[in-house]
Amino acid sequence: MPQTGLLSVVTNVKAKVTAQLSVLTNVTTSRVDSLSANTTVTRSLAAILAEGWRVIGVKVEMDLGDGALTEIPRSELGSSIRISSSFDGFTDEVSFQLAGRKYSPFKSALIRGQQRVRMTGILLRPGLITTRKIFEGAVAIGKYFGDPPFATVSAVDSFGRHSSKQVHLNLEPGSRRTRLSVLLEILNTYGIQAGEINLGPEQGGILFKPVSVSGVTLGEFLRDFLKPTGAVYWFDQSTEKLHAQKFRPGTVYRTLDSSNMGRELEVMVPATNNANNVTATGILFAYTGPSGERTERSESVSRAVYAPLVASKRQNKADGSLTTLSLSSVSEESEVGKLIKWTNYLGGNVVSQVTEELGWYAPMAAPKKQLSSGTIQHNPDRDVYQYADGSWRSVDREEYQVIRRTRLLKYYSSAGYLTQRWDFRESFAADRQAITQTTDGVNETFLPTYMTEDGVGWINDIEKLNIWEHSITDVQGDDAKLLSYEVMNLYGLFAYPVAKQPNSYGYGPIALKTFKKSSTESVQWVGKVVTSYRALSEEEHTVTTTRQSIVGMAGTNTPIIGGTSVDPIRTVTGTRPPVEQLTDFQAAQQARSTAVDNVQVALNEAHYYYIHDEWAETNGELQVIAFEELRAQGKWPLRFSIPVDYDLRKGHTLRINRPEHGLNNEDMLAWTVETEIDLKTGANRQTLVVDHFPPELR
Amino acid sequence: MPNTLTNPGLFDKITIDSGTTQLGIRDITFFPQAVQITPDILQAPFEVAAGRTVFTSPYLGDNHPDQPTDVTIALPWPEFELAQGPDVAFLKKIRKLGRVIQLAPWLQDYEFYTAPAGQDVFYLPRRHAASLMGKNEGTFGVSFTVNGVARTVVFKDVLTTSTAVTSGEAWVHRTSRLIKTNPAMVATSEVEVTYYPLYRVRPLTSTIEIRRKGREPLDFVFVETTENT
Repeated sequence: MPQTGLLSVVTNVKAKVTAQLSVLTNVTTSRVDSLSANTTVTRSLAAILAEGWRVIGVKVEMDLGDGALTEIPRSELGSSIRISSSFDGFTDEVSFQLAGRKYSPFKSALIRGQQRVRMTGILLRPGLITTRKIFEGAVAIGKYFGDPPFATVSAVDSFGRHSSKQVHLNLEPGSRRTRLSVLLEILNTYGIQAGEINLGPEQGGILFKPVSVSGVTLGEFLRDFLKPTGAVYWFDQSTEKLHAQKFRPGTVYRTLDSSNMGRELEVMVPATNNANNVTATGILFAYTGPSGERTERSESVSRAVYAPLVASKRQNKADGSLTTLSLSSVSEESEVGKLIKWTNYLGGNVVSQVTEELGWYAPMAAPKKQLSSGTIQHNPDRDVYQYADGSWRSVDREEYQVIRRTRLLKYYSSAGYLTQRWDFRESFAADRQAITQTTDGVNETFLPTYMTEDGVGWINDIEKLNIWEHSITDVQGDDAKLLSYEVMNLYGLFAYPVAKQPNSYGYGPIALKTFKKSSTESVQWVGKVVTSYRALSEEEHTVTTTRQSIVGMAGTNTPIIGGTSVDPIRTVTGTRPPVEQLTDFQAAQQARSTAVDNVQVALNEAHYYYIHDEWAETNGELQVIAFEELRAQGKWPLRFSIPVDYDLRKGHTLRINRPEHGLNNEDMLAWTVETEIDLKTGANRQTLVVDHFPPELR
Repeated sequence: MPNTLTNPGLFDKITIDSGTTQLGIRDITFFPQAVQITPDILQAPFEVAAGRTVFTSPYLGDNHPDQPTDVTIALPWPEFELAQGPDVAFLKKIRKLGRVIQLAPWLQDYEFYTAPAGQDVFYLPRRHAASLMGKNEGTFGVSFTVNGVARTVVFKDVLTTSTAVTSGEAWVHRTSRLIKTNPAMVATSEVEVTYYPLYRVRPLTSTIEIRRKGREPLDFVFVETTENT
């Protein structure tokens, strides 16, 4: 709802009355794309309210059936007007009387139709008049009395026309709508203008839960729907806009002291057995950020009594001499293994996953080095250690470290279908290389290399954690043929074997003298697995045939494929795996959040109270619900009366100063404003209930 | 029916309805014991905690006097002589007329207006009695002062809120409550108007007591009713 920038300021003050306008605009563009202006004519009113004698009146206009608002003459208006405005209800209500037989429901539909009603309050001291629109609404309930003939009419405000209408709303799970956007949509549906709306961070929070509402009235729905934000809503008669904010004191509207408050003052402190320990429970879902991504981390730990292995001998790199070591290793309970898994979800799908396996390990090392002359000597570049099992390692003691790591990546098409998956596996391994070379198939020359005890050439002299294997799976489909394929290409450490012929390299001294095309191994394509599915029909995922063919390199000792072969196609029947498509899904979890009023607990012991709320999406929202309930239970309502002030409405902040009662300039919020005016004598009063919150509940 | 006193005020004869009565308050031979005019000042108190009171009056409309009132008029004639003939008969009839009665006690009343800048139209709470009840407009006149400075009052048969008024004058409509003046107020001003109100009343109670032959004390209480003009 973009608003183009025209701000019109309207004042009801009559033109001939000099008044000062103070214009207060609240622009809340960050929260809602609308502009709300709150114009207050304060000076005239303040001057009038300072008078010991003032004049009061109400002008009542009503639609008498012609669509226009017509002023009801004084002679037809009863003397008593009552306006009720409270957060206890959803709407403001006025009641008044209309005198005359013409209001009989047998004569006209005036009191049984939803006729528009407008009331303007007039408050003045002689020479200075202020008028305020105090009510705009429509007839809700009419009652006619025959003798004397008059009708009593109750009218509800513009919001009241809608508040008992039933809401029908459905939101898909994972809609990621903000509460603000849903609120604005609903207000728009009913033609209710949004005023100052502040639902807190994230525009009132993001909805993941499905929403299915029917049979709930609009008033009740908004109350429950906004509860997790802590906001209460009210409809302002003067601006005819709906405001929604937390119930906290704001700009002080008036300061009231003994000179403008009635003599009676009633303070209702909370009962000593009121709840002071409030727990809100709800079913929550893991939070997913704005992109829909979320990460879950899981960890499993194995503990056992274990003594890390230590070396028994060290080979000195300077001269290859062996030194016997006497290293001690304490056997104690410790972590012996840990599996950490990070899973990234987009909606309900895993899009990437990393696992790390930790354990006690000392990387293998090559204790020897072959020179180009063929001489095999000790490793001159590193001290290496021999363990009790005879293996050679790079360090003298096992270390607790990552020993395996896997990575999974999934790619989806723009339509959300799985197109490719990548699997990486990291492990400790050494990349091997040739130790001899032959150019004629007969004579071999030596190649310089690190070498293991059993004569395998290594490029580096120790193992390292590296990606030695991975696979890439492409997922394809042929809708016309009702076919889908999965082609998994395998990659691993490999060197192509060749026949023993000139310009070939060979590993040696391996007994079989297998010759390779390259002098070193590298990670490269080593085979593929093709799986094809043929479905019976598009609707049914039943598969008539599943064909799987496996192609790999022969004669290799790659970690993945045992040999070059084309396996015969295997045909199996079964169920076609469901098409993997991005979906929104989140796992539910029970959550609870408690708010405690320690002052009350200290005074009155703990009194527990539990609320279950299905609208909360996060723990923070449960905390808000619990705290707001605690505030509601712990507030101190004050009841008193003041002479009518047509500007004061529910939700306004009042500063109360009654130092004789120990009440020093406390800011409180008007919860209820009941206005009564006797038009004949001018007798009037506004009975207020304002809420005081002790410091711990602010 | 002797009444030689012609000064306006207490000694003038009360005019009831169309001017047919000749009842004076202090008529030598024929008078009510007293005229009790009780102006009910329309206001309500609101006691605040400081031990003081805020008064509120009802708003009756724009350009009205600051303080609205509502009068009750009591006219007791304890020594009413039957010999007064037509007047007695008239008073007895009044009780049964079943309509609003116009009553002019010829007592000067005062109205105060706090007029904001720009105001030039004023409404008396009741019509001025002189023109309507056939009295001399000079004797039973209207005065109009703005912040203590009098303006010339001129009675008009035709006057509306849009009539152009001669500068320095205040025009009073003979048959309605309208007064218009020129110039309009330049700032908030105290306007004082004196006039002789014509009350529209209905008899609420009327007691006739038969005491002895030839005497029928009459006791009337009139209450003010809606002013339609």
